[in-house]
Amino acid sequence: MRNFLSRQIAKSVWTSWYQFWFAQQSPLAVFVFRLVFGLVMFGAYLNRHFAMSDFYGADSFVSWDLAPRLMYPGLRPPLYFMEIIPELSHGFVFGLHLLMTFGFLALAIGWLKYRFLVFFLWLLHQFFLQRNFSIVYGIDMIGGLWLLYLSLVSVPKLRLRDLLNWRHHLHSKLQMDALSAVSLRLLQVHLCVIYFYTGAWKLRGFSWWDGTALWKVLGNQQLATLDFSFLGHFPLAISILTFSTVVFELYFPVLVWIAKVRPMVLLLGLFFHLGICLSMGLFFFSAVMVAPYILFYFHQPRFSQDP
Amino acid sequence: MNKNLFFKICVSVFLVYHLSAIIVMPNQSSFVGRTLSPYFSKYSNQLGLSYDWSFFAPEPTDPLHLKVGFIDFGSRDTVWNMQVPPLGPQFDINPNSRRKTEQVRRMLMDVSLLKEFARHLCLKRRSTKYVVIATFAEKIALFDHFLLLGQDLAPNQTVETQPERTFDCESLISSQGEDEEFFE
Repeated sequence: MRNFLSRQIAKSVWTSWYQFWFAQQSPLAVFVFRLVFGLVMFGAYLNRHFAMSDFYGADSFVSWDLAPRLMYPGLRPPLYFMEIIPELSHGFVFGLHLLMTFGFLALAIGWLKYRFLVFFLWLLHQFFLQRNFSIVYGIDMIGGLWLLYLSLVSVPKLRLRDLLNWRHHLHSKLQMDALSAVSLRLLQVHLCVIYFYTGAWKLRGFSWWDGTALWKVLGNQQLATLDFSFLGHFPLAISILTFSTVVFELYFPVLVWIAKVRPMVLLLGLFFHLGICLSMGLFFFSAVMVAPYILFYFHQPRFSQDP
Repeated sequence: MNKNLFFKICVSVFLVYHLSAIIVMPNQSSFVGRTLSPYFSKYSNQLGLSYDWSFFAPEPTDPLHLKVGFIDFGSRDTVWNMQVPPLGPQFDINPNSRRKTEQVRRMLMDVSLLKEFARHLCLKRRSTKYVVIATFAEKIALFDHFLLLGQDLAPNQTVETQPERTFDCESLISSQGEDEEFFE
């Protein structure tokens, strides 16, 4: 009897585990996610290309030798490009950056059909992170993670014109392999982990706890996109928005898995990032955080199979 | 054993490891983090999983600036002619400006980085004997001061955040950035 029970429990645990991690995603959702993510990264790289000289070129004070010292010791990877490969000329680095830029465009429109090509793109992305860590921004960190997961995902056999007939493809029975399913699920879980840690970190800060953080963020003219002085007339709104930010980030990781409230949570997230985008001008970062919402929105439990 | 099932079990084992890494590594200072991080650090650092995400939750600061002055050979006067980023309302939405601002913030936290910046300036402006760098912040009114005293949200005063530093170009260039040498 005890053996029977433990076997039943083990089977039930394995089934739940399997149905969560190996659940099939809608190929259309994966296609649209790649498209959006690829275009956002293309935009970010293209924009940075106009400041190449300041960040990686002759006008940058971050030389090849200095680069390793800028990386925080706790984040230092074992495979460190600046120490492995000989110093590359500015022209070559410029060319690599251009290659990356159009690599993301190719990713968006589905030209990178093989996983190793996306993995190569990720390696190049790591190279630019390590080349000048002092200018690394949220988009670079998050973009690197999403790219890593995408390098394990097979490319859906869809084309841009299939978007016109999206209803048909949304429920198509195209199957993705196990590795793709797991990678996409990991991407979603990782987003939740990031939200949770971000919210938890905010609670450690005094101004987030007392509800005045947004006052200082919006008053910082190096961050704000507009003169937000008028918000001084609505002090309660500032406090509520500050607390809402923390509450959203702490509860997103739980609520987004509940089907009934998922659309509402995603909508709140959309407004939250739209707010960041408009008030702080972080449009690439906001877009790259919102891109995985596509996978959540088209989450189809019925695609999951039995083990 | 079914080959497909074996593959899925292998993937599941990897999943447990990877999940542990993304949960443990952002909080390495905790007891769990200190105990387990040696098993994950190489893997997670290589893949970029070790960020603690405090970057997205900073305690908001006042706008920070660097003011750069040059003392040329044969002169005793400091000519202040550079401010990074410029003072006053920016409202600049170009992401590249944000990256430059972030670079300044990191320079303020790391003196060796500030010294490399000074060395870079020395190399670009060969007539310079000394580079002087001052760091200051534009103070934003506290929320309570705004409510009680009616202060404006726009920064209303500047405050020096670190003592002014003077870097000797000759020693900076000759030391190849190895040692910090400056006089006050």
